[in-house]
Formats: sequence, structure tokens, C-alpha cells
Amino acid sequence: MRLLKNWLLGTSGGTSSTAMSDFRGVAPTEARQAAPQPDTEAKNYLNAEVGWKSWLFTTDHKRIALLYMFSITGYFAIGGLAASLMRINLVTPHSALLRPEDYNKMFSLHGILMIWFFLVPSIPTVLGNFLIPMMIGAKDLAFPKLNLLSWYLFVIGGTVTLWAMITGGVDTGWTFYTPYSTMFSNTAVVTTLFGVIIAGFSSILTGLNFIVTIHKMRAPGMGWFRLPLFVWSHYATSLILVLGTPVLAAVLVLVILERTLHIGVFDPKYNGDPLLFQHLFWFYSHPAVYIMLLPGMGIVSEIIPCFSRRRPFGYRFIAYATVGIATLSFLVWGHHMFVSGQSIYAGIIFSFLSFAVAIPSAIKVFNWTATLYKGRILLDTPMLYALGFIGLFVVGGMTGLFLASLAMDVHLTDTYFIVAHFHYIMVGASVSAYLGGLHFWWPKITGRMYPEGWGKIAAGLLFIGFNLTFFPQFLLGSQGMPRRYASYAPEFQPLNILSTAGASILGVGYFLPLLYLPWAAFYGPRAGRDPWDATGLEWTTPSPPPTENFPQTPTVTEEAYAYHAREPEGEGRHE
Amino acid sequence: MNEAPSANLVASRFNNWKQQSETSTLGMWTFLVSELLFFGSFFASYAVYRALNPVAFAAASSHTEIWIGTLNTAILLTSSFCMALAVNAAKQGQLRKVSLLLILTALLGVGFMGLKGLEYYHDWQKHLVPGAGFQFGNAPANSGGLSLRRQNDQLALPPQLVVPPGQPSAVPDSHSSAMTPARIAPEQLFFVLYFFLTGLHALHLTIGILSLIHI
Repeated sequence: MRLLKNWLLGTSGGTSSTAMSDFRGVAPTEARQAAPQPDTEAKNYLNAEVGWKSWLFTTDHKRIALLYMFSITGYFAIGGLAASLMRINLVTPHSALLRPEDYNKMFSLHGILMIWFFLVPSIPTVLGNFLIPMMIGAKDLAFPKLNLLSWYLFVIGGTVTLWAMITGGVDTGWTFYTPYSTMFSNTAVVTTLFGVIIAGFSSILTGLNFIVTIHKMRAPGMGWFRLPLFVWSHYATSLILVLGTPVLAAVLVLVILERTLHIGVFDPKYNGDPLLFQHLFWFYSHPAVYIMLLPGMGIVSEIIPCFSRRRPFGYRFIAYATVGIATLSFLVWGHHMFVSGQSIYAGIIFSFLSFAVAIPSAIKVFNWTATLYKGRILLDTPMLYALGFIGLFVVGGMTGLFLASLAMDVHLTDTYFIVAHFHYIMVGASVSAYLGGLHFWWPKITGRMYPEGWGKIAAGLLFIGFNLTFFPQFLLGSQGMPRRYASYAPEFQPLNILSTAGASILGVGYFLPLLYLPWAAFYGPRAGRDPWDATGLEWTTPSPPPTENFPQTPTVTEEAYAYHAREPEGEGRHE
Repeated sequence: MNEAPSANLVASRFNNWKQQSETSTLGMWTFLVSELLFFGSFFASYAVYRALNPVAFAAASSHTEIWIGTLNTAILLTSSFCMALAVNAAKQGQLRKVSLLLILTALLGVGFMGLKGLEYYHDWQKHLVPGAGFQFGNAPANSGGLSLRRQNDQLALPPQLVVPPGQPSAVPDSHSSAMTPARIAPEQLFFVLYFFLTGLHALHLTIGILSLIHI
């Protein structure tokens, strides 16, 4: 029992430092310039200037990251509310809570907000913005004012979209398929599309900023293969942002044109082709799901080495696999259109390529697992989220392979199997990674430590609630329950009840960090420069860091993830 | 970044001028790549529709005014040349020459816009602007009598969607009248894409000219 209590609270009792307290006293390697030890009243980015203007007109990447964090949490809450209404409605087979029209608006709202206003921004704009300059030894991003513009565009886009939701909503689904969206839907399609397009420009500018920053602002000695894998992941993500999002903007503009000017672009009456919409839409939207996944993989690549006290197995393979995923992701969009009437030969090629894109993802999973081998595993909250990521991502990814095979997809498409598949990745993996990363870097961001016991409880509730919500949906889908339906055949009810019950537990798992993380930011015990004894330049700065990050630009002389050099027994060598 | 402005032109986040200017250059190129994908989507749509309607698109494009297009191309190429000369002059510190060349670039851009506007006006006079007033060749305005040209470009539609002219459409459509034609001229599709693409181009030109004036 004592063991359990120690684990739950962290070996130090969960107060000042963490389970890593045995590592205090190990001096940082000489290769790293020693940062000055902070006193608790030191000037940092949070107290450097006060007043709302210093926040709303800031160009400091760390403050902008926090601005984004507040915004996306708000959108997440609304999207989550929509999901709750849907799940409550699905407790009974005959759609007792919502009219079908309103249910359609709910799943559309849920998808649009969660994808474009939570998942796509979350890790890049919150953790990426905060950490990338620090990880590469820079004082800020390449274009700080552009960064602020990105945030304003994001908020404007979100406001326009919410306005659309208030003035009637949209019932096309987040996929806006033609001809329904262009010709038949009587809802606020155009307004919603404007909101999404504006948010898309925000993404493009963020991706641009990251690419240029990573190329041009690295500190001396920070070669490409000394970069943290978190930076590699964001580089690959930014490539997709810059190359894919313009295509989304283009196709949504065409839908707006058709709806407002009544000139057919996708209308067969005008010799248009509704399928052109699907091709253009999915050309962006498939890479988009990798925008939502790769940053989370980057977080896992940071957490796993730190909490197994080993450097990542196969660093270069992980880096190459990351860029490989980004590249291949542009070649598989047709797997969303297997039953759309596209040529069967195109289907075969897309199916093959979809199998291929799973390979680099698998390489990364193998490498993370190999990193754990013979490591000294510490099961703190960030590690729980990272381990959960690996398990849930494997389930989501493997079920993706089912869907990539043509014959299976004919049976499974537009069923709850698909819903379960992508939620396993988008929620089980990506949201777990986001929360894990928030916990891991919370001491750096706020200068204070979150309560470890609550962290573990929330992580456990999330894992249990998540599986209870979405695993039954695999079964529902393979048994034939269609997606996006407000009502269903009565034999599906038991699994639906399980799913809704799970959702309530999942909700508690989300709600807890919403309470204790802000609490910890103000009242938690002060964390030092590096409470996890992690590698990475961001941990050499005080917590919270000063506005300019590094008083002098650091020089990097050691490889990344030098955990083996810190191990007391001197072991931990791979390869 | 939060300090008072100083005489030093290198921002504090940069180590030196070289890093700052390389950063700006890479930023501009990255932005151009995203623009390539943005315009490229519309070009891809054009390519698809042209492949599906080769006769109609050929017929439609023959109604564009080649002399305006050629002259405009020459104007824009010249203005790009002036811009390149301006960059060169800037590197050599010849500030007056830079100003003159930038003004020339902007003026040529304005000239382009003027000619484009003239072309648009002609198109409007010839009923080539998509929408209610669109009328192409011998076919009556948007009434859907099948012509030989269009028969060559028919998409294969399921029978219930192909409605003989003059009869109400089987598919409810809130945007058309009771006398729904079977097929609006596919040439209109060409002009939809034409006006949109050239309009988007004009928007970018406007931003460019304004930027030049600002500089």
C-alpha cells in the first residue's frame, strides 16, 4: 500500500520536487552553459509587463502561446458540449433529446470546432509556440508580429464560426460535401466557411513561422540532428500546414462562390462535378489529420526518453519517419473516397499507399518501445499520458489498416467503426499527448508544479473513460450502425449506453486538469529550473523563463538526449 | 522586442544582419509556396474541367481578347524586370534609382489593372459574365437548348438527372426556375474559373501595388 501511495503522490510526497528528487545534486554536464539559479521574485515573461495591453499586443512567443491556450480551451469546451448532447441523445434509439436537424447541427459543430479550432492548433500553437524558440536556443520566433497576427486571425475565425452556430448552425458535417452544402442545405454554411478559411490562414502563417525559425534561428552548434524530436515533429507538421491548408482555403472559397453567386462549380447542371469537391477537400484533410497527430508524436518522443532515462532508440529513424509521414500523407487522400465512384484502379493505388504510410508510424512506435527497454521507468503523469498514447495509437492505427483495405472499407465506411478509429487517434493519442505535454512543461511555463496525485487520477480516468466510450463503437460499426444518425436500430442500444457512460467518465478526466492546472499555476509549489532532470535547452532557463529566453545565446556542444551521461551507473547505452 | 526603438536595424532576436535578411527571404519563399498551392488548386480544377469539356473550353477561350492578354503579359514581365533592377540598385545603395524603379513597377501594375478592367468591361458587354446574363454563342441565354458542341461534352449522368429542356427538374433545386434547363452552357464553367482566377490575381496585384507605394 505504501508503494502505491508513494507512486500516486510521487516519491517526494508530491510537494516540492518530483519523483526525480534522487537526481538533485547531479551537476549539469559542462557542455551546457549554466543558467543562473532563479530567486522566486525574478523577472520573467509573466511579470515583465502588466496590463491587458501588454498581453493583447505582445509579440513574445510565450505569451502568445498562453493566449492560444485560453482560446482553444474555450473552443474545446463548446465542442465537448456538443458531443455531450450527442451522446445523451444516443442513449435511446429514438432520438429523444434532439430533433434530427439539430442532431446534424451538433455533430457538425463538434467536428468543425474540435478539428479546426482545437486539434489543429492545440499542440503547435500552445506548446510549439512556447517551446520551439527555447529548444533551439533562440530568443523568439522568426516573425513575432506574424505570430500575434496568427492568433488574432484564429480568434476572428473562431468568432465568425461561433456566430454561424448561433445564427442557425450548419448541418453539412465538417466535411461540407457537395451538392448538399452548395445547393440544398438551408443553414449558415457560408458564414461557417468564412470562419474556417480565416482560421486556415492563421495555420498557414504559424507553419511558415516555424519553418523559417527552425531553418534560420538555431543556436550555434544546434545542428539538425541535435534538434529535439519535438522540433522535428513541428517542422514536418509545418510543411503540411503550409502545403495543405491553401488547398482547403481554395475549395471552401469555391463552395462559397457557388452558394452565393449561384454559378455552378460542382453542379452537374453546369457540367461541374461534385466529386471534384471531395478530391480537393480530402487532398487537404488527409494531411490535416497528420497535422493533428505529428506534434503529439513529438511530445511522446520527449517524454519517453526523460521518464526512462534513456536516449531515444533510433533518433535518426524517428526524424526521417516523421518527415516521411508528412510526405506520404499527401498521397493517400483517396482512401476517404473508396465508395465515391472513383476509379477502382485509383482505389487500389490509394489503398496500397495508405498501407505504406502506416510504416513510418510503426517505426516510431517500435522505437519508443525500444527506448523503454532496460530503462529506469518513472510513472509520473506525463509518462502515463505518453504510454497511453502508444497503446491507443496502436489501436487507432491498426484499425486504420482495416479501413485501408478496400473490401473491408466498403462494409465499414460511414459506420461507427470509422468514428471509433479516428477518435482513438485524435482523442486517445493526440489529446493524451497534449495533456501529457501540458503536464510535462507546466513547471516551465508557470514556474510551479501541478499536484501529482490529481494528475495521475485524471490520466487514469481519461484512459478508462476513453476506452469505455469508443471501444464499443468499433463493435457498433462492424455490426452496421451508421454514423451521423440521430436514431438507430434498437439492438444497438446496450453498446450505445456503454459509450455514453464512458463519455461521462471521460468528461471528468478532462475536467480535473481544468481545475488543478490553473490552481497549481497560482498556488502550486515552486518548481526549479529542471524538476524532471530532462535534457533540452528549455530546461536550462529559469522557470518561468525571462522574456528573452537566454541572456546570451547558448552554444550547443553535446548531442540531444544525453540521458546516458547522467545515469549514476553510467549504463543505458543503445546500439 | 519590447525595448525602445534604436538606430540598429537588426532586431534583437537576430544575431546579425545576414541572419535577419536570410530569414526574411526564406519567409517570403515559404509564403510563395503556400500561394502556389492556393492558386494551384484552382488551376487543378481548371485542368480537370478542361479535360472533361475540351470542346466547350476551347470555344470559350477563343472569346478572350488575345491582344489584351499579350499586352498585359508584356507589361507584367517588364514591371517584374523593373522590380529586379530595383533590388539590384538597393544592394548598391542607389536610393533614388530604387524609388524611380519602384514607382515604375507600380505604374506598370496599374496599367495592367486598367487593361484588365477594359477586358472585363468587354466581357460584360458580350454577355460572358457568369450568372443570369450569361449567353454564349448561338445558344439562347441559359435556356439549355442542346447544341452540337455541348453534346460532345456531356457528362454521363444517371437518367433521372438528365431532364429534357422545358420540363421541371426531378431534383428539387432552390436556385432555378420551374423551367429548369438540362444543361447550362459548359462554357460558363470556363468563365467562372476565368473570372475568379483573374480576380484573385488582381487582388494580389492590388496588394502588391499598395505595398510598393508604402515602400
